[in-house]
Amino acid sequence: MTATLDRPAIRLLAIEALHRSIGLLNDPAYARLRDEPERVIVFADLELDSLSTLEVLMEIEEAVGIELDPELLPELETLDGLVGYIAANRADA
Amino acid sequence: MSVIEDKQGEAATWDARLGAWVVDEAAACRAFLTHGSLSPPPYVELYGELEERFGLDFSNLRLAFGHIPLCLHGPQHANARKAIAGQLARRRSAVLSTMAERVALHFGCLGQPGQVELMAQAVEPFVADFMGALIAVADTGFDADSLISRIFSRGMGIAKRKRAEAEVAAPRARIEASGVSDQADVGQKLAMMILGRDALTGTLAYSLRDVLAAGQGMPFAALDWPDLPSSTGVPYIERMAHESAIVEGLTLAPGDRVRIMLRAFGETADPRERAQFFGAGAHTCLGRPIALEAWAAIGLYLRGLPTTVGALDCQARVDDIFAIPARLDLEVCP
Repeated sequence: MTATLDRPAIRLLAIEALHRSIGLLNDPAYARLRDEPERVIVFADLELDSLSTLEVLMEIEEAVGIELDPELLPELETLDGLVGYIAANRADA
Repeated sequence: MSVIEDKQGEAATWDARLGAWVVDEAAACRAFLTHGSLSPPPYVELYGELEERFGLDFSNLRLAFGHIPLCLHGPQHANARKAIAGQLARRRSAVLSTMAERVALHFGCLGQPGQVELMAQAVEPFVADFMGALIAVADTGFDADSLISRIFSRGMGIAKRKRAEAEVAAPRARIEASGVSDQADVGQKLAMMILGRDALTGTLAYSLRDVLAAGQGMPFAALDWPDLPSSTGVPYIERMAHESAIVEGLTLAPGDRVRIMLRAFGETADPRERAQFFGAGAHTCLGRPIALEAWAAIGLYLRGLPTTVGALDCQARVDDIFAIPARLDLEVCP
């Protein structure tokens, strides 16, 4: 686990987790996501099923060292919402 | 996904956040609870899928879920139910014969003036002791704050589920160390602890809160003690449609989820209606008779106390599965 992770690094980590789980970057609509730090990604648009959600969050959990529950995704709504949550909770951990 | 035909105020309301229909009226709850097309969520299958997909070990949780009747359907449910009923029947006499002594031990703190935190000082130790007697294992090591209480939650990520798996290992080991070698027997005792402990704690605690709140300023001896608990520690039960069905005018497709709010039964003065918060149909709570014995024994004891009910404060625990107070502070007066 990386000791310090800033928001851009957390965002990239989450994008990679999404890609490994659902092949996100293979979708032309998201192919350049790594180079689009301002792009808003809405989780509802990704149509993650329950197992994919668990898989994505599990990867991120292992990398960032905090527990992430699936209900966070609809609550936080966007990728940047999740990044902000992780950044705030890693700071408190 | 079914067509959304019912809106607020009809038999069920769609909750987009939960991804489930919510039923919150007693008659409708009864209909959904007893409908043959609805089954408990596939907890056992889910953990099997997680093991297969992520290469994880959830053997403790699968053992427990595989013996909790509430989590099973069809012949598996019938067998689990028969087994748990057998466990309860074998231990009933032993538990009843020591009930009064157990109540006095844990609720004796109400017999003298002072400040009492009822959850830590009375209800939780009583339930731990009672459940230990019920499964004939004195100390299972169930921590009141453990994640075991949340294993029915659909909202847990993998890290929490792994932690829950690790936490179930300790009570499993203690049950096995007590001389229980048959794994089915171990699973049944685990199941009884996992489901019974929190359900009973919440039901006793909130019902006690209701009685004490109504009796503030009164001697314990004068408390109005109802035959049935007034509140349930199990606010809802989830069901999933395993086939297409129409229930109370609601069209359900296979896989559609329904959350049945058992608290709806508590919101009635009719005791026959209220008793249904122990469930209805094939999944009616097997622990109901012994739970009612515990409730009656507590009432009998409290009404023999020389003290008076003072100020009461209740704080709820944050819990998406059970309704359990975090604290129940009572001033006991002379």
